[in-house]
Amino acid sequence: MRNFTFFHWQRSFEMKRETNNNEIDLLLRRLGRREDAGAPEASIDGEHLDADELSSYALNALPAASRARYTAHLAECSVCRKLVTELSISLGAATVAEQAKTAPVPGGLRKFLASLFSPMGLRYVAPVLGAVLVMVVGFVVLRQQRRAEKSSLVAQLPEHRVNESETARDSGAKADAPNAAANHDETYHNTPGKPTEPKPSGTPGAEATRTGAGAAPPPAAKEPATDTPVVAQRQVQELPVLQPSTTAKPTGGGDAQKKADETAAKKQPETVTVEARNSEVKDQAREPVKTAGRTEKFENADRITIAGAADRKNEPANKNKPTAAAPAAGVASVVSRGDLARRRAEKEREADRDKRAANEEESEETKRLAKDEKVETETRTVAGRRFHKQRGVWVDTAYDSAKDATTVHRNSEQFRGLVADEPAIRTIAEQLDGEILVVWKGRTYRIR
Amino acid sequence: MKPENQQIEQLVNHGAGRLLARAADSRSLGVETLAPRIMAAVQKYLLRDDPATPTAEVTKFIDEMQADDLCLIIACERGDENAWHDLVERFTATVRSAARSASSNEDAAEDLAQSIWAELYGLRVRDDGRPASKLAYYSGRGSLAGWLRAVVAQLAVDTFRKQSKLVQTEEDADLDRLARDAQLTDAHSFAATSGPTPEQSLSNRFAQTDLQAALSKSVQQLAAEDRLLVKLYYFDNLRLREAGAVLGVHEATASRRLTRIQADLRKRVSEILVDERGWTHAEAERSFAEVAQHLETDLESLVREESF
Repeated sequence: MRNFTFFHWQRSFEMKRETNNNEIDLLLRRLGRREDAGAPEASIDGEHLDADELSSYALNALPAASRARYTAHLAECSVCRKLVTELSISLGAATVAEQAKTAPVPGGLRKFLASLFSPMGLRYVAPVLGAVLVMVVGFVVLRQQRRAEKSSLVAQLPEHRVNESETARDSGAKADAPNAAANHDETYHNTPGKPTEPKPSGTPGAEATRTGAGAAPPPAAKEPATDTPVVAQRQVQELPVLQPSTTAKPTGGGDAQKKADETAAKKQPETVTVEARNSEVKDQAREPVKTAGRTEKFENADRITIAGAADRKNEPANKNKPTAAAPAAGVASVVSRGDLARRRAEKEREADRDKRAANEEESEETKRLAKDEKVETETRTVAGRRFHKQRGVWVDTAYDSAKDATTVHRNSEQFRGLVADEPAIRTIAEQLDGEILVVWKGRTYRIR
Repeated sequence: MKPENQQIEQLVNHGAGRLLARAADSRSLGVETLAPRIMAAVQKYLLRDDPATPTAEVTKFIDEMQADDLCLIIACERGDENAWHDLVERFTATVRSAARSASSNEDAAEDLAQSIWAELYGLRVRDDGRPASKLAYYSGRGSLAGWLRAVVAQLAVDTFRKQSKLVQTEEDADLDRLARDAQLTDAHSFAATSGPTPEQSLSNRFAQTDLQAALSKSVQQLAAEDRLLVKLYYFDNLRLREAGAVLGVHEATASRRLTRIQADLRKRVSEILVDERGWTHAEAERSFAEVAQHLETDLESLVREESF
């Protein structure tokens, strides 16, 4: 009740103040009409202001004391007042005094933050920042999920698989480490130029699709078996490299990825086992991938994909080998078959996830490239000034959104006066269409 | 010479050297040529209001002068043909644009522009036989373009005054008569429209007169900048944005300032009516409301007449 009373009182006070101002406004208008009808021309010491004083006043180029003196004269002299008014409007005098009085020039970070939160900045920067934030959160969540799945997968791994994987790894691991490193470096320095094409699903080795894999090339001819350990090791290195990361960023990822390689390689020895036995893997790896804009990254992806397919193809052989190697392993073979099926299902699920993540990355990267291309084509240099087109407005690169801009309409008297003084601005207005924000001699003009 | 004058002279000489150094084209001028001009500007805009201006302020004043424009004008004064050629080439468009703004037609604008160049070149001769050039009045504080516009505007006003003094047309006479009649009508409008008694109308007229007089006095008592804003907005009928441009403030600032001024004026008018005219506060409040209501009626009737 008290709040309502206070609000009511406040409202009535504001209405009364508005009424009072309206009354005095009407009285002042009447006074103005009467004074205008019969006021004599006043002057200080019998003289009017000279052209230098008038122009300096209109341009805000006077010290405070002399400006105050001329203000007092202008308040009394309608002739000089009219001249100063015309000059101020035609010269488009910026509110230098106002800006100098109100805000100090902010430093680097504050200026940057101020530009971010200015209306122009908010229009462009806020949505971009929001999208970046969503991407980062999604990436972190996805990565955590994969780690959790990987750790559960490792926990289910049977012991004999671990032993075989160590044997295969020792044969070629050390010799081929530099090659593997070079391969995954190349992977992350590739620049995809085409949108994502759907890869065949259910491929266990499809981690590489996250780096933006495109079309899957057909299987190639077989190669001699002597390269098997090298190729296997390369793929061993590649699989763990690609798995932890969901981005295709080329810089700064080399060392971290190498560490991830080693960690993942240790955690998934069963992968080594499967790939090491595939002599066909190297055959398909040697096949040149003829897709525009793609390089080693997609070759690797395809290699692994095909390796995964070969893996499934050779599964029965793999299954049989442990059985053959262990003559008394009737029970063991039944257990391993069940394990294999489970592992296959898990790998298929993981491959699906990886494929989805790779598709997302590809589309994001495509959007970023398209935006860059769009920005690059919407830049022009006129009269020594460089302009970017943003949302239909040609914006000078020197434009500071923290400063006020003087709006000038083409074909207005103000515009004619401006271009008469500054012909370069006419050139800019003629060569650039639509709205222009140009910074000229320390002042910002918005030409419409 | 007083020590202060010596100090100022030293500051001016050093300032002239800096000015020449930052000019893109100093036009072979020397410190001794520039110093007198700078000294005149310092005297006019600084020392006249405050003879004890700090040296830092004098230095800042000189460093903010338009170096290239000042060198160009002084070179023109000294008869440098190249400088004249540059002046005409750079500022013909400016002068023409200003002349067009100040004139009613193209021919008048062309005549005005030609007159300007004659004035600048000093075709008129003074009483002492020396050419009277307006170039001597450019101090270098504002831009040369702005100064030229001001010169054109002043010459246009002088020309118009001369022409209007020669002939007062019948039309002007009729307008004067109408203006006088309008003033009389204002005074009697209340009686004509609402029909009070003669005593009431006389009393109201005195109230209006007192109110207007108190308002006029209150406006005169405002600070110079506030008074200028009131004159620009109410007397010259400028928009707030234009009035703000003259004062060098943003439109929003001008609006806030005007609101404050209105409140101050109302308060001051009430004080004058109570203290000097013997009114009561209630009478003052009532008078405000009544006069405003009548003014609104007048405005409405004016608008209706114009629409017919």
